[in-house]
Amino acid sequence: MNQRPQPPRRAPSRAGAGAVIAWASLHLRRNLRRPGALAAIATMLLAAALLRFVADEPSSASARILLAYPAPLLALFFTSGVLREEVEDGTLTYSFTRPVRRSQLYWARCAAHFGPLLLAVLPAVALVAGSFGQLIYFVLAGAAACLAYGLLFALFGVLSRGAAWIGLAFLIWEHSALRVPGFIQDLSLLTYVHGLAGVSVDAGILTFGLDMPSKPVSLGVLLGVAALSGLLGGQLVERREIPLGR
Amino acid sequence: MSATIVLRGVRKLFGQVRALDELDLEVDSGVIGLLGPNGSGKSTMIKLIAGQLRPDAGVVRLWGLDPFTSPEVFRDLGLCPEQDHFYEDMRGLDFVTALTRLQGFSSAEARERAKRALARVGMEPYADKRMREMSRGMRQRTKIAQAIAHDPALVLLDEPLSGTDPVARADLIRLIRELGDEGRCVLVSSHVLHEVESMTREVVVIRHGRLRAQGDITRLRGLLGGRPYRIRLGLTSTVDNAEGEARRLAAALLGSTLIEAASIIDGAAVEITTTDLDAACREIPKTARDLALTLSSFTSPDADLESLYRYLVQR
Repeated sequence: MNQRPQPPRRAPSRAGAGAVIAWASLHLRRNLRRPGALAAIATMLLAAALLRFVADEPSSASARILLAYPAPLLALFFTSGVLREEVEDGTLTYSFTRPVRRSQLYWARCAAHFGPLLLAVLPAVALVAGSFGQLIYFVLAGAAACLAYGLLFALFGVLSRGAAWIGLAFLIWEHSALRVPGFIQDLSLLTYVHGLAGVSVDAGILTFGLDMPSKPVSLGVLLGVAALSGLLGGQLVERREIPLGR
Repeated sequence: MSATIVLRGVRKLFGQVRALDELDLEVDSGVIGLLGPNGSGKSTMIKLIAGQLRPDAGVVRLWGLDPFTSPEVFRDLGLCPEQDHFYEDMRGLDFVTALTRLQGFSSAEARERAKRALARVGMEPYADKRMREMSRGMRQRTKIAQAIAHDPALVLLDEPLSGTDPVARADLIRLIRELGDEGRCVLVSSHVLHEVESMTREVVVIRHGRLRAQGDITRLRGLLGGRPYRIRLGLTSTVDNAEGEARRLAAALLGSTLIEAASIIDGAAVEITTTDLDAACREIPKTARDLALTLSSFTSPDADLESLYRYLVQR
């Protein structure tokens, strides 16, 4: 085994970024055709329209509601099963036996799942914006929230079969943390989502002395969590044995 | 030169179950049949070679590289998994094209290769069918197409003929032989022995996760020294005296110390049992000549894969 004979070089040594993008694009198209994705997009638009035109809520309150409740829940719905559904469908075998790093395939799958998520969240938060400035920050906060929550829940999906339950528990923690005085609030991603959107945190009567994080800090924290979760998820997929098929 | 596939001391546990245990194997080229009863570790072995599982002990190497950590080996590896799972909403051609695209080929070349591979497995007329609309045999052939579309040097086929009709089965057996003739290494797992026998004479037999035998079927049988070996002798006789001549030959052969038993089969043939095949093969024609009898056939029911397999997995 000291010698390292090379196989015949008929095919490229490693598939390039183009192949991975094509793979992501394929799954994005498939995801966008799913009834669940279409229902989520329609429901979010309807909710945003109701908040804006029927309930006549102020823009900031509407954005706060959309960013605090449906956006993280949709992130959980769309991304906690990034790999799990392919494991359960038994189709992961096909992509995992290609000359592409598993982490790249994982990120491609994540990207494909972000499509319907972003399409559900971003138009909805844009719809409730009262001004162009708000629209920019709402959309930015929506995108950063989708990335941070989405990649975190995707990581949960790599770590455990019960990712949906872990994600739900995490969201309960998120909302509970906002209602606890002191630094605990800083440990909630929602604090930074609201900080980036420029809407006050609905922290409840127990809260006192809560400082809204600045927009750059909020963006940095959300992107940092997204990057860390994405990298960790990729590394885990690269190194862990994922049971494929029966 | 190192073999294409090398497994050294490979152990794989699933909980308390030892799927593979201290398995050593080297495979180079040609079609190799991977045989073993259900639960013997065939699929686990294929998954280890395909880098889908990581051994708990030992090493797995393809061209000297660890398939679990070296995705570049997949440029020259094609896998047809056992499971009947697909992206059901996709058309056959799109499915094979997408996977070939993931090999690093351009969209146009991937599509061209996918078309060729589908044609090669006889799926050209059904390439536009959606996977969920295909019969089991069509799905199986599509699965094989995605495994060969990128022209791999090593093809792993896990139960490739399951669910196929007799015509498709014959076509696929021919295809598998062609793949071997083209210089590829084709490892085919199957529990249908006569199908394996029609593809190749080279087999690997595993049981309880251990290698029981590897090599040419005939040579393996020869290595099983000490085990009684049956030879069936046909005689050129008229209908009237066939049984008498068979009895004369049987009686004469029983006089030899090489022959342990002799019996008349269908009133016209003699079946003898010996533990020294080479010596018996020299002795039998001589005895027949001495009795002025002409042998019309000389076969062994033990030389086929079925009996070899049964012996290897039951001992």
